[in-house]
Amino acid sequence: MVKVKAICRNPKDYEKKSAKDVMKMQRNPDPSLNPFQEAREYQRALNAAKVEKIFSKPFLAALDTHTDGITTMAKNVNSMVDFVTGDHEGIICMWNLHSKSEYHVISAHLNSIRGLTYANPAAVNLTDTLFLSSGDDKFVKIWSLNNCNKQKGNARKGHIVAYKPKAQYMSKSILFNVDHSYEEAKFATSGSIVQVWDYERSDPISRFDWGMDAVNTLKWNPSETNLILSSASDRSICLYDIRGNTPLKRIFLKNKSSCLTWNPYEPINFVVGNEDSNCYTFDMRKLDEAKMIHKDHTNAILSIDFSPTGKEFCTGSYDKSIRIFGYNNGRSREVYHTKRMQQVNSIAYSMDSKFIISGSEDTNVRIWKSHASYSLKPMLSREKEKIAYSNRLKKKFAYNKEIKRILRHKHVPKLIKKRHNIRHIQTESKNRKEANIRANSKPGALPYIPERKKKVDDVEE
Amino acid sequence: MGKDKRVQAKLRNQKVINKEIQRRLDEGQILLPEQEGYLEAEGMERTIKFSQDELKKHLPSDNVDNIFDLDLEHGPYSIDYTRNGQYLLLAGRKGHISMMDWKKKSLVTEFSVNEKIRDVQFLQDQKLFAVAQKKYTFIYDNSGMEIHCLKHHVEPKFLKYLPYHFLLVTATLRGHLKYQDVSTGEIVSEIKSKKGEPFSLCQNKQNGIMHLGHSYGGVTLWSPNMGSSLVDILCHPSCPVTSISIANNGRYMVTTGTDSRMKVWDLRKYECVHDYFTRGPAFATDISQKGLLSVTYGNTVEVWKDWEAEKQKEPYMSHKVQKGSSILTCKFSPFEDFLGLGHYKGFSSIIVPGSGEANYTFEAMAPRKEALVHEVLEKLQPSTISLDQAKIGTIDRASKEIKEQERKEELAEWMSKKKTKEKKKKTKGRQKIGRTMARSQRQQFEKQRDSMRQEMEKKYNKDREEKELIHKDLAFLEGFAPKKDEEEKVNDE
Repeated sequence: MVKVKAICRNPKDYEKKSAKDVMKMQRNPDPSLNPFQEAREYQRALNAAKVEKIFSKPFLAALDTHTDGITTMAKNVNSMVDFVTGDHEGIICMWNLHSKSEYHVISAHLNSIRGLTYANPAAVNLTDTLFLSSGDDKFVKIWSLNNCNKQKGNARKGHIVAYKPKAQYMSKSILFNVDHSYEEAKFATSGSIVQVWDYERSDPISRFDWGMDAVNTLKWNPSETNLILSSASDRSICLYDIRGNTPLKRIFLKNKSSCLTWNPYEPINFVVGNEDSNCYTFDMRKLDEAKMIHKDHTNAILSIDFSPTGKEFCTGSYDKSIRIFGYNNGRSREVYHTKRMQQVNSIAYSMDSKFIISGSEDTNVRIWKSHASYSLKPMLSREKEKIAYSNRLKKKFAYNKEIKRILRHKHVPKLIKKRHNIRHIQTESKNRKEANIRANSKPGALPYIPERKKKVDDVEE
Repeated sequence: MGKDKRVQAKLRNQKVINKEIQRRLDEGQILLPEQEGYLEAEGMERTIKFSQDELKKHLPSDNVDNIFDLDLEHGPYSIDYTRNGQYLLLAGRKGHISMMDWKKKSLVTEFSVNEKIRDVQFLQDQKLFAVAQKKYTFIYDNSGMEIHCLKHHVEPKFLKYLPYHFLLVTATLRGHLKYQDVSTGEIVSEIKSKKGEPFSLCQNKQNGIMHLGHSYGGVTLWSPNMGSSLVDILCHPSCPVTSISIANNGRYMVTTGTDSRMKVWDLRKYECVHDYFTRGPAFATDISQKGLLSVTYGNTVEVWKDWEAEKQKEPYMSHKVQKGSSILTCKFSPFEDFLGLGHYKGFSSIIVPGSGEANYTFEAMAPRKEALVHEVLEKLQPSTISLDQAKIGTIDRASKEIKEQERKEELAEWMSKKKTKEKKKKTKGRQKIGRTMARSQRQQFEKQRDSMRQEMEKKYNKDREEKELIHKDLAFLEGFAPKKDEEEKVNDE
């Protein structure tokens, strides 16, 4: 008897079951049926890189309620959409990121607003949303959303209203920044000295002074909730414990740091934005050298904020651009700029890490996508898979010359490009000079010091 | 292992991913629903003894319907199947072309080109196919309309198509190899083999290399990126290589020569593994997706199984077409268990169980509009055709000096391509807007005048040539012209 069978297919298996059905993709993984696998993957990666560049349109909206340069902003960490901005005229806007509109415009201070922060509802034990503002008029004011809603009455949209604050505190010395504690009904202000305030007291409960003239910014540590980090105009970065009477530690960098932020996922690490156009990541346990130097800006960094994922942070700079850095990456992933944007005084990463909000000297609040080429539309699962696949391919071939060139290419304004080139020449010349000196001196007389260490001038305890 | 923690973490991650890939591949086996064919004999029986008629009795009607013979007049016939095995193209030497959905037995198009046809080849799908005609290569669509006449491919003898590169390859009677991109129409490469008329052409599907068989018994390997052959193998000393086939996995090559021998070559070492005597010189061979080898001589076709592992004693199957009709081409139908035979008196389709891959690897039956768009987007560059496919996607381990030199060359090339702005000729003096305008206008007029003058000259020359030609053509009429007096008289009347 002969045993015989030949391929015999039922054609119905290869048809759509219904009109809306998707045609099933037949895939046989046998490598001999799928030649040029690697070459085709490379081609797909190349296409994906090109498509990414075609679709990268990060700018979403500009909100122009403010009539003067925006100085500061704060995001509500308990909401996806709330944020507030303050300007030079002393006006605060409360915004909704989703509807891209303001729901309160508050005439808050007489002069510039220097600091804004939301209070953690768990800390103040309220269902209300509170935020604090500090201004050049030496006042710290606490605003409540419920109060504002009550007082609004029939004020027109975008109309400035002189709301009454929930509470206000007057400082004897000038004030710059304000930040709220994560656990208690306390807040800290920076100015000529660092002061810690209690809601119940009209005077600060503690004062920290280490002979600095002006402390620019300060931030509470999100995990060790008694720690405060501050940067001052004498190039120092200082660490305080509010349980003690004296500051803990202080380091001096080569230049002044104008902004700082803690990494929300690794709260032992913090990043400072320096006026030498670099960002420095530090480990607070080991302050004598930076963990990482993030270079790419061409002018002083004015504002910085971490993504809630802790993987990336965005910076706004005096060179009129915004950059996004990986937390462990020396170079920026992305640069955003527009023709009309001036120096970026304040910046915030939205709580879903999809958007970046920037406030700049040109009175506009701008909303950007954090990934320039990502679509905001709801996607089919197949679409998502396709994007995940092309992202994976881009990663696989990230070191390929051609793909690297395409992905790395970013269009920047002429001025930035020029400064970049000048900076490159400067560093090269500096390195050359150092090498020459080393070559002409006794071996070992001029030890190699890594740049991360070189940038830290002094550590004081 | 280096000390870099980040690299180590990445490597660890990659290992996990690789494991996951293997697991998913293994799991994916369930998603391959179709089963392969087989033919097994029991006891003293031998598979070679089963004729097609006998097999018909044991097979379902769907399969039996596809065993058929076509008696056609314009033979011998060259044949080709589409990549999904659905359509069949027949081309008779004397100019007859017909395309059909061979399983449904429905004719798509049929026409005659009234010219000798040497070879025929489907392009990406059934929508277009190329025909090697007497003088040029032509491209027709599925309605039989002539789409292109490729005048660069003069006197083509063999046609092959590289589907991932969209390249049509022709080997011409003069021994030239031409690569043409069918998506852009650009000729990618023209190579002179300098070895005379080719006797066979075969494509290695794994790396896109072309194998060309010559009259002196050699096989040469070609890629469009090199002007000379990559490898020369002397397969059948001083006997023309009549056919070449390469296994789907790209490891083995089978050549036949007029010395009545069939040789199996290991393409990794370029060594002859097995050497068979055939009953006569074999003129066509083909290897199926599952690795069955068909060899034809005269009107006989033999199918061999497991021929690469060890030397077989007898074929797996054998079949004879009509008496006196020798077979010109044999091709296994992809994704089917059938073998198509183009011979002098027509075409035969026979069943060879276990020859085809049971599970498709692309949207075979679907409307291929979108798939085709993706295929064009993922078109590979001709530079990816190389002997060692495994090199793509690996680290470039060339020395620093070589890399530096390459970089410099690239930079020099880029600089030479970069447009340099021509400097304006500036004469120092007072520039007046009136003068500049007058000058630019004058230049414009001069240009116009020049072009008009050239056109007039062309026209004048053309007219004169035509007149001369007419005079020449009518010169023989001079004898019939009426004499001058007669002419006048006629006019008077």
